[in-house]
Amino acid sequence: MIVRTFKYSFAHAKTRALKGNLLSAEDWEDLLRLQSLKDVIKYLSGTDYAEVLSHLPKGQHEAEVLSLAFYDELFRDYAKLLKAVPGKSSSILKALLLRYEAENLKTILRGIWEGRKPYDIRFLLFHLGPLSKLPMGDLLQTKKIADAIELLKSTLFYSSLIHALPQFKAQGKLFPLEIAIDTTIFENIVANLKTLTGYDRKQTAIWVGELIDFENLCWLIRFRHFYGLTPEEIINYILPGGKRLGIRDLGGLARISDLSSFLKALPPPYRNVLIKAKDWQEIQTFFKRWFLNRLYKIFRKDPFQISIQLSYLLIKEIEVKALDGLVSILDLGSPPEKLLEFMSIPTRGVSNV
Amino acid sequence: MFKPEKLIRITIQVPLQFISAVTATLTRFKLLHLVRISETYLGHLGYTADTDEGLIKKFEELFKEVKFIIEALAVRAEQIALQDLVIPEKDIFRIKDRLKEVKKAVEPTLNSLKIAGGELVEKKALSDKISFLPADFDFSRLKDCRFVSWMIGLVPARGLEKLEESLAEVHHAFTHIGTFQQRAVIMVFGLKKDESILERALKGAFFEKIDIPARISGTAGKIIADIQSQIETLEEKKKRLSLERESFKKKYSEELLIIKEKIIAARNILTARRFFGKIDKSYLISGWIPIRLFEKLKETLTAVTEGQVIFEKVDSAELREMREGVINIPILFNNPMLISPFEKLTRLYGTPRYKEVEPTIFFALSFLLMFGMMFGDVGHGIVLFIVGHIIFRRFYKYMDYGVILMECGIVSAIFGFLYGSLFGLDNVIPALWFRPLNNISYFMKVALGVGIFLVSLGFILNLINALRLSEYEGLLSASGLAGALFYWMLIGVGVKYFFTGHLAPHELSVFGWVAGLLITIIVLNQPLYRLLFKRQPIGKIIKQKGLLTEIVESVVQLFDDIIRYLSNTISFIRLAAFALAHAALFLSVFSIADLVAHEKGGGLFYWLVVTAGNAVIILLEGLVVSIQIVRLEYYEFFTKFFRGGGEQFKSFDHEIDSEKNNV
Repeated sequence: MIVRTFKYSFAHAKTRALKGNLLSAEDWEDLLRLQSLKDVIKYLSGTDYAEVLSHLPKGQHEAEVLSLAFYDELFRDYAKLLKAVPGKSSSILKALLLRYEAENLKTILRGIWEGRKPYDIRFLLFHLGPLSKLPMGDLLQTKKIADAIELLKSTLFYSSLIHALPQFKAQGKLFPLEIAIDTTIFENIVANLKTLTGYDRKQTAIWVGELIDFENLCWLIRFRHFYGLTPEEIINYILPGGKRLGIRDLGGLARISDLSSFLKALPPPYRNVLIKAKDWQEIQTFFKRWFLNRLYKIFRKDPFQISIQLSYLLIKEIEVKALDGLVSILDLGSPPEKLLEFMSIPTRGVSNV
Repeated sequence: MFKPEKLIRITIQVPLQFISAVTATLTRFKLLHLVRISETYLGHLGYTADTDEGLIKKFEELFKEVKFIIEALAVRAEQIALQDLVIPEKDIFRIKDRLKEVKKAVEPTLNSLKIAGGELVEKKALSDKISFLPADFDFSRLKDCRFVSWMIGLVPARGLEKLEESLAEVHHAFTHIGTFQQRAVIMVFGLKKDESILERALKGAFFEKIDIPARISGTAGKIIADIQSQIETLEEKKKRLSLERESFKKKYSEELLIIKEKIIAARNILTARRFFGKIDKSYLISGWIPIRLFEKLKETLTAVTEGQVIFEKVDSAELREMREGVINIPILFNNPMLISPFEKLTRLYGTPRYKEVEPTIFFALSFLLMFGMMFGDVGHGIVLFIVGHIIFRRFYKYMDYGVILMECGIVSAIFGFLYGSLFGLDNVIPALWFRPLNNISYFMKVALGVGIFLVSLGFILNLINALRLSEYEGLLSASGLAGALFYWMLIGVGVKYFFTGHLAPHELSVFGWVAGLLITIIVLNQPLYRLLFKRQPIGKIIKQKGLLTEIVESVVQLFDDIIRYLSNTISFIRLAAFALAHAALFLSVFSIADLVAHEKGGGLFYWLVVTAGNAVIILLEGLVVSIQIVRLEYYEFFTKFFRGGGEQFKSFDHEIDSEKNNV
């Protein structure tokens, strides 16, 4: 405990300070009343997002540019916390951050596949800067998917992409490669748990397991009920390392086609949390809200553990995604309150959900 | 030297008829970092050049042909300097005709050789696949399966459990036969009626099917024996054809290499145009060049184009891509020849941003100083110098490492004189300074001194970087000026106490007041920054949300940074520790040599042990010392000031090479 106190005292103070700058329930109430992107920018200029927004070029802003700027704020926090946490523990933060590297990689592969210009692809990428380890310049100039994969030899994506390449060629779709990238990322997160020791590993394993359960449920619903894939195919896309949902449980869930049986088949506490879902979409929204609450609760526990930094980054990520959603909604001309239907944001009265 | 080359962004507008001549001139004029117009705003608007893709394609095809023949004839790759000027539009015909003639002569032999080679590979691969199966595995019986489907293939080993679960609802069986390239080789059986389910499950498991030819029948053991006999026949045929190939190689190799170089030159000229933009009848070329070369380039291109070229210097602040952070000003290192090999080591850590201090000179000098301190021996220095010289002269590709080794050899020899050590013998030459093993505590003080100097230098460079990049926010924090002053004051007081054993009351008092002031500044660095640099009113600062957490954070950061700076400084004691280890290893070598000297033929063994021991010390200790220095440089020194994230300068020819590789 004493060792952990020394190791995490600075990181904890830093995280607390960052958490204090998250948007409050009052901020969200105000934001949901705004009617244009311009108003959103003006409002957020008085918050912690002022810094990243000040780097935007003057004039009209496209929704995509604005969304990427919000993510810049998240990456700034990653960079700050990566410096603050002890070296050994930083690997799990890096593993978490790799999800954005994976998103960039998928965007690049999609761009290559669709024959887009390098400038257009670069425009869509998250600005990871020095945090990125992808050979970005060379990748963007590549014309063929197989060549792009060869450029990734020194990255952790290579082996799984090479194994997925025959299916990509057989199906003529990017889907196998995208799945391979996502699977690699989560396998890497689980593998990085081993770099942690004692209490850190025990605590982090819990919420990483829940995060994987969440991803598995989302994928399962999306593949089965939105993309129409068959259970036998979906089961092979399951991410290992879930806390309460093992391969057998998810296999069983994949084979259930009606919502009420699906909800009843879930293990507790997921069943209790999700039982009120009226459609498949709501399962994801309810789970996300429950998970956000769990993340906030970690702050009430032992402060000297890496889970504090991880929880903060995930909460920040949810906030950024909510802002991204708000921008998209306003850009489409829909009322901003619609955001409440599918996003998790802090609201007054109900602690953080 | 302390800054990268000063670059400016230029845009050149060249009339259509001069583009080949201008491209050829730019190819020779290497110090231009091309900006791909397609990645700029102009490219976004569609002003990209319409390169003669047809002609490039023809050259690509010719390149493939000549490369195939060169490789097939196993001609040794040599760089040949072309005497004539290559004009792609004209040379295409001559090259094509000659290549056709050569190809006609060699093709039958090469084709037969290729077929024989292909068949060999195929037979061996089939043999490998079947070798996974038990010898009595009978393919004839599998062929008779009327109600059962079967497949052999590879799946990622980690996916087996999921595959098993996905097939749980249908009758199936799968056997894990072996492992190949981190994948499991499996054989799957299922009912014919469930074939589609089987296929979907295998699709999800990234299954790669191994195709077993339909004609195969009999047991696996018999099939492997048949294949082996076919392999032997094919190998004999291949040998005969290889002799024929040798005679063609002698006849055509030089001519083929010249053709290849001509194709490469033509391709360079045409490929370069892919980087260009086009407006009406003019090409647009954009890039970064050193300011000192701007006039020279302008003069040369004006002459080539008879004055019809338009040059434009662009202010980087006006570039939309710069503002959006899509592009950076590239970094062209600018160091003297003896320092430039260290640029590779700097780049391993990162590329500095354009306005940052370019740290290679500091890296190189401190690297050599520390290497000399840890590896001081005249004999070893001479050996390193000789090895470095051999690499420098013989291995062009590793020339930089040769230079580094030579420099390390020189400083090692200098420190060898200072320590009085020659191949570990300390009674041959006098020590001009001191002998490490006899002055351990003095050596540690020297090592600490080097540490204090490098950490302080890191602080100074950090301040310079902060000013250059206008990053004033951290100036008053523990990692900025205030932290540096605090560190220097602590070191000053420590040094005074260390040498004199006491501190005067007035010194303590001054220390206390100044330390108090600095700590207050550090703790309040964020509010002070807003007050002094952002000119915010005090009332607003005090009422600002999160002020208390900022202060708490600063307090914790202050402690964290002070401990880090002190541990960074103490870390340099390893300079003394490794120098002592170096000397101690000599002691061990000579002790072992003394032991064997008393055996029969001991004189010979004595020198054998001394020689082998020295070789081991040079290799092992040299490697360990280098790793330790790089660690000190990166972790204790660079972390103080290096920000990184810059883009490396890529010269024109390098860019075209990458482009060609992508094609």
